[in-house]
Amino acid sequence: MKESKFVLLTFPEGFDSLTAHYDPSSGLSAPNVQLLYNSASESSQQAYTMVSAALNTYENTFCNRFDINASDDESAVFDLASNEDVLGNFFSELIPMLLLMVAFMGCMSIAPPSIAGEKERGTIATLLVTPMKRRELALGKVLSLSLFAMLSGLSSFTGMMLSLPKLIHADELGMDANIYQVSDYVVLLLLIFSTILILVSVASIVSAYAKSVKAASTIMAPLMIVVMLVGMLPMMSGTEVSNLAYFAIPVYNSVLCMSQVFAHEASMASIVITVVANVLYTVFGIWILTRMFNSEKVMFSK
Amino acid sequence: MNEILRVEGLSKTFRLSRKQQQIERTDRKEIVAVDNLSFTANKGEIFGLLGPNGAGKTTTLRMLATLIAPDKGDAFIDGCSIVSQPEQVRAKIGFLTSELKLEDFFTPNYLFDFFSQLYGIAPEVIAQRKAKLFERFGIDRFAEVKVANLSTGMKQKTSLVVSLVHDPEFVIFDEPTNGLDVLTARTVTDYLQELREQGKTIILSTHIFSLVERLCDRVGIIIDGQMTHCDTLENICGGQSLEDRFFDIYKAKKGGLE
Repeated sequence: MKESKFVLLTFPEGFDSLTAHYDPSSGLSAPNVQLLYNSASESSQQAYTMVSAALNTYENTFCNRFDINASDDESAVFDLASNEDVLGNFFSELIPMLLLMVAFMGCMSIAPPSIAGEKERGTIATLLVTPMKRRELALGKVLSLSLFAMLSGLSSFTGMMLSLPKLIHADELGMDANIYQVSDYVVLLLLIFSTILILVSVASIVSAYAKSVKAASTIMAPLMIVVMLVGMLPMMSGTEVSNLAYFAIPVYNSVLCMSQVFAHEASMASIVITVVANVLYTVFGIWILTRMFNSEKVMFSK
Repeated sequence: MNEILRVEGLSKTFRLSRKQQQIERTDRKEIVAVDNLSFTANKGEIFGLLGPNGAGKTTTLRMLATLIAPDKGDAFIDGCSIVSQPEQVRAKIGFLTSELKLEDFFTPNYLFDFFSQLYGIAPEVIAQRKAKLFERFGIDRFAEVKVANLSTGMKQKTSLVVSLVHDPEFVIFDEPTNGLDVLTARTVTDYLQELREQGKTIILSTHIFSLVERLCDRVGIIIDGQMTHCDTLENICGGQSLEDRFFDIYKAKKGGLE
């Protein structure tokens, strides 16, 4: 037995008739099957697991007194969650995080060349000697960058919404992924745009601070991780929030609010607070950027 | 004479890095780039700031152009303070230095229109001025070539024209002929004289004596951030050549040529 790589089964004499006549309520010990195996040998261990599982299944067939959810009628439904709930729940956990990531990646790729790049190439000084106000420059940079980040966000969003149902085989499962209204999409776009405004402001401030495009991208990388982690919060803690004040926390508010929209749980109050808070943060970001454009230490740091 | 620029006690210091302090074996945390500088320039003249490298010429001009702010003092260009009214000052001046670059992606034609619009100039005036300046500098031949593909001289000409889109009364020019071939340099200096004939005021910095002798009406000599002499060319030279006179002044100030 020492060198055996297999399982040795020992059945009692007349096993079939013993099992046929055994009554569990009699209190006598049941017919016993012995399995000898060697746990040090991988193949023996595997064989043991397989054989004992097969025997257990065989044992269950003797005393099947009732079934759970067995039905000959294929149209019988036991899961009371509707198609909308299941898909909505799935979307609400995944898409806001993905959207946030894609939006931030869009900002990351355009803000550094536009601001740190202008510093590096020396073209920003040419702009700074014109009578243009620094505030106008900051506003123009943030708005134009936001527009392009929005375009990149939109194309990603469209691609995601069209491909995700395919990815989870929604049609094979008999689910209709078309579970949102036009108004839902409008709210989502509003949320995404207000989020992009904040992300662009942050990326612009980092880019204005950095000495070169490379430096700006380097600083942006850890920020990306933070944004991603924040994006995962609703997945872990759920979308139910006790206090509306949470909707004033930048980035987190957007993910939370988008999750709620996808789960059909959003309230008017949370949407309004999120958008207004995001716009206010953006105004604050533009103010900081204006001060940076005004500072020779920031603009001409070498 | 009509005074258009008045500089009053302009000072600027820069921080020294710790490593630079070690190199210079000093505990001073700051280096004085411009030290209590005062001078005036009159309307319709070319004023030259003459000094060796590192004397503070460029720093002075950058302060006048409101790119950096003075630590102390003030300057008034046509009555506007560079400290409290930087936007009005920027609208009045044309600033030219190799520090101001143009975006590689655009063409001279586009850049001229873009910067004209930043100054809020009417479209007819833009077209008219562009035609005149492009012809004057021969830019019309490469008006639709991207800046990236232009030669150094072409780029410098384009920069010059772009900084003059608003036809400024007051032109600040840092090292006007640096890095230019003799032909382009000549075009630039000729144009500066042309501007003076139109009654514009030009303040330029240089370390080239011949340029000062040929162009400037009045000269300010800057050594170590301080204005040692400021007068007409004749009064400063007093019969000597500018070069000899400059070295005399330099030796007197520094006690030798190091």
